[in-house]
Amino acid sequence: MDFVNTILNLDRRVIYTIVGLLVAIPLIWPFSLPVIPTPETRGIYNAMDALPPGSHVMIAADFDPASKPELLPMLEALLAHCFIKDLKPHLLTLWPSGPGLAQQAIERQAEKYGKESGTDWCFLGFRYGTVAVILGMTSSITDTFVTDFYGKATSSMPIYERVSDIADMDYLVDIAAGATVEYWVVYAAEPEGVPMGASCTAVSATSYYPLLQAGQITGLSGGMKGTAEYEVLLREEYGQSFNIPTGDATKGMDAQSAVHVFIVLSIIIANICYFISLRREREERRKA
Amino acid sequence: MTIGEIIGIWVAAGLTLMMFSFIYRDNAFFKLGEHLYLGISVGYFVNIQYWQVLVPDVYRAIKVNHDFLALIPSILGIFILLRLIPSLAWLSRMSFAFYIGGFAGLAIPNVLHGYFLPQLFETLRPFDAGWAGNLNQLVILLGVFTVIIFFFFSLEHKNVVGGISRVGLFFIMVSFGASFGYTVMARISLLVGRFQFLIDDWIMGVIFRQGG
Repeated sequence: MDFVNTILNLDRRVIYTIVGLLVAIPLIWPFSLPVIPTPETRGIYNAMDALPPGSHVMIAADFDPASKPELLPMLEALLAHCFIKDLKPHLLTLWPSGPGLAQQAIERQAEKYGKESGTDWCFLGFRYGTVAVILGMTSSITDTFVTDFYGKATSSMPIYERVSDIADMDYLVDIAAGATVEYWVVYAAEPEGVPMGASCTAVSATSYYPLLQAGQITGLSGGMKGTAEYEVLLREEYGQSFNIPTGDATKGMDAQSAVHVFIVLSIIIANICYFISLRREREERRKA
Repeated sequence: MTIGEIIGIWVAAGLTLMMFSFIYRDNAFFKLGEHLYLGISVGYFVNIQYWQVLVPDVYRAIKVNHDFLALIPSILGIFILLRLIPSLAWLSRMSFAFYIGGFAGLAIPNVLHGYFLPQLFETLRPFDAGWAGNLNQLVILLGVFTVIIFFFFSLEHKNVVGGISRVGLFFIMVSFGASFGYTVMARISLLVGRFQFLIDDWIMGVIFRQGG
């Protein structure tokens, strides 16, 4: 069997093995390809960075472990950015399986930067209802989340002395594995006039570009690539002074790029082989 | 690292490898992992529904806070479950009518104001953004118009309409291509995440006990 036929009849397990090796090798021996931040990700970073100390940021961690590699590092980077800038994050999730990852992230970052629950940050946890929860918070956050994730009454927390509803927030970010970005835009950011950024899985990134182009969100971070860009921006500016290590998304970009190169080459080679085989078939038919 | 964390990492690594085994062929380990995942997910969601909805919004609301208005949504909820009894299934229509009517009333003005109109304004922006901006605006207008024509089925797609709808089809294919590219990126990201876990947490963190 010649090369063309070998390629066209290649066992899919060979491709899986190559992809597996291309992911594993850069993770063990990284070759540190540059990650260049795009204007989309800068839109979130610059909006967060421009907030004065003491500003309130609502972060919705609307994802679950299935999207962990793409979105958890973004949540960690956003929380680190908040604590570095002395912003007050109000973290919540509209996904029932979201609280576990969100809790780990905020406790890890709060401990690192020495921030106190109820004063410097609040983890509201999960409440059932998606749109109803967002609408509830446009009236009152403490009535919608009577207690935080740990069971403490939110109304008695110092962080809610100056803040009562979403309109009092200075910035909103939805880290979404589903369609919640649209809900936050439609039911919170637009009617309440709060600027908003969105971080989403790569699968849904194309759906949110119209929101970015229309100025309904200030920035958009799509998938692991967007998260890596945010990590790079944070490390460039605050990496030395706050000892920020290389983030998980940035570490994963070498593997990501290696597989992308392989996929692109595979598509080109497979197409060339396909057209060669077509021509051969035509020639054989003509001879016959 | 505690013994609980070590056991957790071994279980997670084992389940990851069980799921990866499907790459070779369908097998009993994959089926076991798949069924475990489904069972745990259903159990978790039932638990969440019970503690996040039934206990605070029904039981505590009525029994502890004597908020008898909570009876109305509770009864409507029971009506939906009555779909399981054919002779009483008609009662569920009341719940669905209430839900659809209420949500439509809430959603229509908000979606119009917060999504549809801002997108419409942005699509019909005047050509005053320099040549590059204007070109971009022209492409957006052309895309919106031709794709709408593509999905306009009251006219047969031939002659001028057929030509315009083919341009619309081109825009749709570009959109699908972009979505597919992003989808590939997302799937590789998930694979990278699992490999990071296997290499960093399991092999280096537990088996070789480094950095732990």
